[in-house]
Amino acid sequence: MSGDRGLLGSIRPTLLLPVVILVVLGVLFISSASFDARSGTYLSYGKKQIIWAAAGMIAFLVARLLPYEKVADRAYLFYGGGLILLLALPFVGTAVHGAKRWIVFGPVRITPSEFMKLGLVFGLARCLRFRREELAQLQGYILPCVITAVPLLIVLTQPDLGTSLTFIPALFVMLYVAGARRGVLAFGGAAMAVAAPLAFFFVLHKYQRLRLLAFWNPEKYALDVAYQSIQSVIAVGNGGLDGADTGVGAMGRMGFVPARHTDFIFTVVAEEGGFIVATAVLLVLLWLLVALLEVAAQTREPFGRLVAAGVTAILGTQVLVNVAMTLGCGPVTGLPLPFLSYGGSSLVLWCAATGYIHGIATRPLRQFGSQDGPDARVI
Amino acid sequence: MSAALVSPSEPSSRHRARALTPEGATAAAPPPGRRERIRAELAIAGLGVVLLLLLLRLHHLQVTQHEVWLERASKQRQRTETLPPPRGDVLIRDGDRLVPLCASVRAVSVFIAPQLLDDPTTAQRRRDEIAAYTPKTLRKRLGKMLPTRERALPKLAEILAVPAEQRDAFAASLRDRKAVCERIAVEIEAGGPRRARALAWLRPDRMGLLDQLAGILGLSASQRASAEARFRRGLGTWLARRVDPELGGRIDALRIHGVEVRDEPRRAYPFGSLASHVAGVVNVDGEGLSGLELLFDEELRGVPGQRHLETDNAGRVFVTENTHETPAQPGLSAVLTIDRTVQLALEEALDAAMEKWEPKAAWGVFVEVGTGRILAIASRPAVDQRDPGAAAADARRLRVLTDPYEIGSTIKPFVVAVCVDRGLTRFDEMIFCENGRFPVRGRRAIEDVHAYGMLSVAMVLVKSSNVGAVKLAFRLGNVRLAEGLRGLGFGTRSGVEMPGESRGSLRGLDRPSPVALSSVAQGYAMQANALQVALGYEALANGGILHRPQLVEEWRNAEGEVVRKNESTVVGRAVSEETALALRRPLGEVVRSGTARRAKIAEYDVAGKTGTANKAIGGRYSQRFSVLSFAGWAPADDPKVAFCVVVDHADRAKGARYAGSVAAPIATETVRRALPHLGVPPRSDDDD
Repeated sequence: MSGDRGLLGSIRPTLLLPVVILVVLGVLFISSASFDARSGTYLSYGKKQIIWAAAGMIAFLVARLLPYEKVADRAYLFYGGGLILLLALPFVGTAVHGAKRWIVFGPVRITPSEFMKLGLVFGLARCLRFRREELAQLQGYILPCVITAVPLLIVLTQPDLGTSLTFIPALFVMLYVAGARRGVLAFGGAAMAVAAPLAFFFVLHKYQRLRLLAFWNPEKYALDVAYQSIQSVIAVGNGGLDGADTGVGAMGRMGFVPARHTDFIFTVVAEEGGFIVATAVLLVLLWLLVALLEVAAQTREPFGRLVAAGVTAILGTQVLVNVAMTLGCGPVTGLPLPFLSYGGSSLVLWCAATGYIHGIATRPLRQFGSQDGPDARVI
Repeated sequence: MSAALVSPSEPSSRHRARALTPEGATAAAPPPGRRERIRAELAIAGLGVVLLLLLLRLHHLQVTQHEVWLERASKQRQRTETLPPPRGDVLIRDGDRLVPLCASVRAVSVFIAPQLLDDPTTAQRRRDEIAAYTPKTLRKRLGKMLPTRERALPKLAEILAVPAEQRDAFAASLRDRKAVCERIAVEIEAGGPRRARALAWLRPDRMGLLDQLAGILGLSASQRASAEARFRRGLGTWLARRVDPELGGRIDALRIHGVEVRDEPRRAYPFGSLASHVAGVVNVDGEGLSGLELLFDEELRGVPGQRHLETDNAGRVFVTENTHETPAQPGLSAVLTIDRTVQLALEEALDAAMEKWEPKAAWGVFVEVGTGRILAIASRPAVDQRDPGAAAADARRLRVLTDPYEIGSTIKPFVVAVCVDRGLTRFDEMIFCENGRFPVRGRRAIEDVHAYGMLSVAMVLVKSSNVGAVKLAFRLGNVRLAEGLRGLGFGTRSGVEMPGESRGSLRGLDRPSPVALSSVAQGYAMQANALQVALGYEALANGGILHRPQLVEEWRNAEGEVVRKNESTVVGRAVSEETALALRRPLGEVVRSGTARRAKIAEYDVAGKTGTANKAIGGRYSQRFSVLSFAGWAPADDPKVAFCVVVDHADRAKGARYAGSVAAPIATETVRRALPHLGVPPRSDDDD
């Protein structure tokens, strides 16, 4: 099998194809969404995203070749690097709309919280990979919880509610995959349920609270906090079965939908593509998530399995929360739609993550000393 | 719970094997577990369920509720603007020409919508950012901020103060968008005021903008302050209404989003306050408030058009195929029967009388004999059309119509005419005038100014004998006199096309009372407005036919085509032609040698009758203040115009004692100026 090990060798279409489809659609819809109604011209988001898409594809192909045991050994480096970026943010970050979330390196604007998502997955995977025994004991949960809690609290204070919300499913899913006891997970879930209202009143910023409230009563807040949500719903409904006229018929292009090339890109998909295209996009997203889950299920090596499960958990959460938000049945939390939303660093990051998982899936087990032989790929 | 946790219920060998061999999957690694499979499938199922719910929601929004959202989306996007129609003109005759008494001229209003303007804090931040750019970044960013070259050029020319005649060359020198960017970049890099101007243009700061607009529009400090107050509260405000379109053009050229210049035609009065009561005024929204503007508001106003526009989220308008408009239909123009020369002559004569005698008010009306067309109608005090709001309330009345008065001796020709018409007397019948004192039971004796013995009926008119008139009225009795006066148009509205006409009254003739009858015979205990009197005289002058007065001759559309023509209307025969014609001599004599002889003019013979009525003040007749009037026609033997002129509240203390010297000259002076213009040559000296 080593003959397949070129940059393009032994590609698994089930993993690559959905990523490629999503990235291409992302470029198309971002281009459309970058129409600037004021000047009647297109802004450069589309063109930039093409470059990022190319970078993402390369990242995918390269990441699948990473010697993953070495990655596994250095997993805490990813985690630590993510933390350092997060901690550096208040000093070197650039604030947009009241939240410091970006670090600007010349032309590249990276979002440390995106890197932290992957860093957390790696950190947790490293911590949990041989932890089945310890997870029988309550003390065994302390370390993974601390690993999660540190970046979660930092992100929450940024403030970035959306990102911090993705950490929790990642923790639960990875604990579950690592063999955690159901009772503990159930207890943890219950604790979350109790903590949520407390957090609502004592941790969240007022604007975050309002956004959540607006979700329950959008018309009341139609002109302020629920504005985005309502505009998104109008645009989606405007799309109809086969999509709105991309001239002046589209609310997105006329500037009514806020953040339409980033967080609300799905609104643009649904408005301009209509129900059929939007459904197709959702199915491709589901395809990708299922493919990732498959890898998790089929990989016996614990680190790879944990990474695949963790990435799936985070991506799945983002997809569901983001789409629910654009359809007006979820709060506006500022989570982008993976692969589709505009944002170069995050696109490259998730392409690399899927590429790495692709690598896990296609890696011969012999590297781990399996007697099953080089072809002992699972199923 | 804790016990269960401490002693795991399922310490599988797999766990142990892995824990003991930290190298990862070892020989002890189990085959792909069914458990993992099931877990993965469960997760996939869960994901699928949530995704399915989202799909259902998507379907609900996009398919089930599509129409709802479609409509809401277009509502949010579309805006309908009303296009004000140009108001019709009011035209009067000036010889053969038609000239506008009031006309709509193009004007613009400037509206500012602060919510559409750029946010000032963003603007400041943006300026700071721009200031920090390197030259290279600056050019790159400018390229993104700039609209098209065509839109940027005029502004740039403005910043650089390029003279109008050099703008074409300037535009040619900047061939493309990049060149425009470069030019602006140079401007920004120049620093100092040049940089400030360029940056201010890129993002106008609000108060600076307001100052700029106030400067262009020439707003006063208080206007500027009140605009700023609204502005700060985020309210839209009119900076100027109906101002010079040239100012609007200058503001438009700034192309500031959120500042709107709308066409709003303005009312202009080329002849100033001429016939101001007839024209009336419009309010700031162009709706008629008084006069013809009020009465014919609907005709003059026209039909507003509509423009449907598509806008983006900031309300910026897009020119798209969905933009369509229904053009406004201009209002109709009214052509009045008013003649500019006659009107001007009457107004100037009234002004002169006002100045000379200082009465409270004076008014007059001239109608064309044979048609009832109103040639001139005026009232003093009047409204200054340049500032109609400043006029006192009582200056706004066209008293000719609104103010009935006791018409005094001007009633006598009517009494005589009715009496002759009924065969109760002849013009040559001699009547004993009781030597100037005629007792009537129940009241003070009827007295003449001069004592007369026997007077012919004609001479009763010339000498204005009260005794003679009362005796004739007694012959008629209240019923027949009332009938006769009604036939001459008294006691009913004439039906003139102006708002606010009074009806007057013949109250004194309701009952058979000699006291009241004797009062009516002298023009008391009854009231009429000046137009009714003038029309009565017009009937006497034309041979006995009462006309409905006519003020609007025709209506024309914007192309100048006549769409409606009003013909002169006959109300009915008032007196026989013979009677009417027979009145010309005695009434001509009134001016030649009678009570109005001081008003005699060399150019024309004028026929008329003076009226002097004491003002009823607080239920008593004042000995000091009176209503002096003069009604009649000219020329005396071939009448062209009939008139009635009234001087109200004339003060004897100021010398205003006799109608013949106060009211009659107003009429004769007007006649002297009007008749040549109406095609009646003045008498040459050798005719005399």
